Amino acid sequence: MMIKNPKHIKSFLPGTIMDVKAATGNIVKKGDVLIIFDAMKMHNRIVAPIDGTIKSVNVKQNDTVPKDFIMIELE
Amino acid sequence: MSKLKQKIEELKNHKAQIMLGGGEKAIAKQKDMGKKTARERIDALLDKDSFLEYDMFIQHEAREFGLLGKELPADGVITGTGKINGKQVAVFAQDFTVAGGSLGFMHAKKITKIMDIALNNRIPLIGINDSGGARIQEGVGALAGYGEIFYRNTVSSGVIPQLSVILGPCAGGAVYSPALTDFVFVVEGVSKMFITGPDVIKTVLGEEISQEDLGGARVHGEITGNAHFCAASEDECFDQIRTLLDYIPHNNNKESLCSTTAKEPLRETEIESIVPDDPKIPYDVRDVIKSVTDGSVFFEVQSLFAPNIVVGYGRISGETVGFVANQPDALAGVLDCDSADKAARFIRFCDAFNIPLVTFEDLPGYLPGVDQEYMGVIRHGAKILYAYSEATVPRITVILRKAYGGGYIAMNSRHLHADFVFAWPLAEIAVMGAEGAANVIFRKDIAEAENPEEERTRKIQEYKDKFANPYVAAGKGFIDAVIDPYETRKYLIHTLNICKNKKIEHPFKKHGNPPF
Repeated sequence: MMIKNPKHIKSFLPGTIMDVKAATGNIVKKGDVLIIFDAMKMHNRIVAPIDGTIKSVNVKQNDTVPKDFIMIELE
Repeated sequence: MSKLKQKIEELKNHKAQIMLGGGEKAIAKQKDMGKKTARERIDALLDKDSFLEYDMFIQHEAREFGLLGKELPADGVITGTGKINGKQVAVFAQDFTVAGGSLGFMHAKKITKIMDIALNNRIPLIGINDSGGARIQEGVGALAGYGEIFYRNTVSSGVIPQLSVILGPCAGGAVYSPALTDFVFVVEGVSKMFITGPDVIKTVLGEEISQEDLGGARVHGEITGNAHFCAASEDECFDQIRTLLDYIPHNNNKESLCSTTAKEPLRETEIESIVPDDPKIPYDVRDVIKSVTDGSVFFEVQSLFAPNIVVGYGRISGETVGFVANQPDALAGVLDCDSADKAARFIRFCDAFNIPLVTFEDLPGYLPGVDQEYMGVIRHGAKILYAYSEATVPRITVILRKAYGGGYIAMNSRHLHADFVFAWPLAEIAVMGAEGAANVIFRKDIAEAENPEEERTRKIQEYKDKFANPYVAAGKGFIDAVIDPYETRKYLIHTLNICKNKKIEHPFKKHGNPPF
């Protein structure tokens, strides 16, 4: 198993995107909420694991994503 | 000068020589690596002037490869007893400036002697590890030393708390002593722990990785779970040790439980502002813990590893309580392999040392997935059932919101013989979520309905109304009371007092066989 890349923000389960709170180019701080992700009966707050700039946002509202899908990439 | 005075003078000089450890050059090198020396560490950790050192004059046993006749001051490890917060402790600290802190036969003898002192006198043991590993020149003598240490770690387990502090390299066989102890402390940029280092990995597997990425503080704090406390500096690490020792008893005698003066929680807590009504909205369960602890203080253990379950210590009415709580803010608070491991180990420590357990429950269940199944979520998940069922300390559960299926049973339910189980009015105690349940029970009705979607919504609501509440469980006596969340601390104080003299006896056995 390789060490988790903190720049790749992945879905921990299959689920639905409730809300996207970040856009490409945004500067974010560790702990900022980027996505509200519906999985396991919870609207999970997906937060930035590190400070960085959003390189790409690969999901939009109401998308359903599989497990381990890279929803946002930081740089 | 009398003969005695002269001898005392000689002793002073001899000791001063040994106190220099590996000498100025080696000490300068140690400082360059951002590390304190072994003796400085002991001074920084223990109460001022409380430390007495033993076995300073130990001579190493290496006869080969140029070590014969070479002085290795104190044989590279400082051992002794002293006090932390006024309470007795036994300590060893490996001295990296002497032969890289390598473990030879006599070095190990010093460690096992201080371990015996700790066990025989029922005081905590703190081991500061900073060693290049086995002293290869001493061959199998060094290996014998490790084995004797592991044996004592195991025998002392559950009798005295054992703390391992990793302040340098700790590689190969050396890692297994910390792994057998109760709490492992690491410091960023200083601690390095692995079975085989980067060089071996490169030779055997062709993979390149740095020491830090392979076994640094973050790796063990976040990924492996080997470490319980991560600090940014050695001084912060020593603060963590002092705080922990304030919470935990010094041995497994009930009398050694330490209490302080009771304090009310500092925070005037608005429960509504912590826990949202909608069970789908996450929150930080640590705020709920702080709403019931004295002074609103909570000391978290393993905060970075498996954050979907929170474990740690707080005080209620002046007495230490171990808290276990699902964390809706991380992975929806699910149980999985790592969180079950983390909770089980914590519960067993509390039980061994007579610390009552309070469980706050809000979880959707076990994490589904092929990887979890392949990783063995069955046997890992079973650990939490075992740990709770086996524990004879007072066990109290408060169901905050969701309690579904296997998760409901696992989180110290009445059925695992919790002493008291309470539920907040918004609690949902059911075999599964309403959507899943309605889809199974009413599959035919939904399929045959004129408008299946409308029927589905209706049936989900019907199931919710019937089962997504605490009253079905309360009606069966599985919940002792549905309580006003603002009275949670009151209920905990009352029932912890009721349980003060709890006595449960399991049938005689040598020991159980938990799913390790």
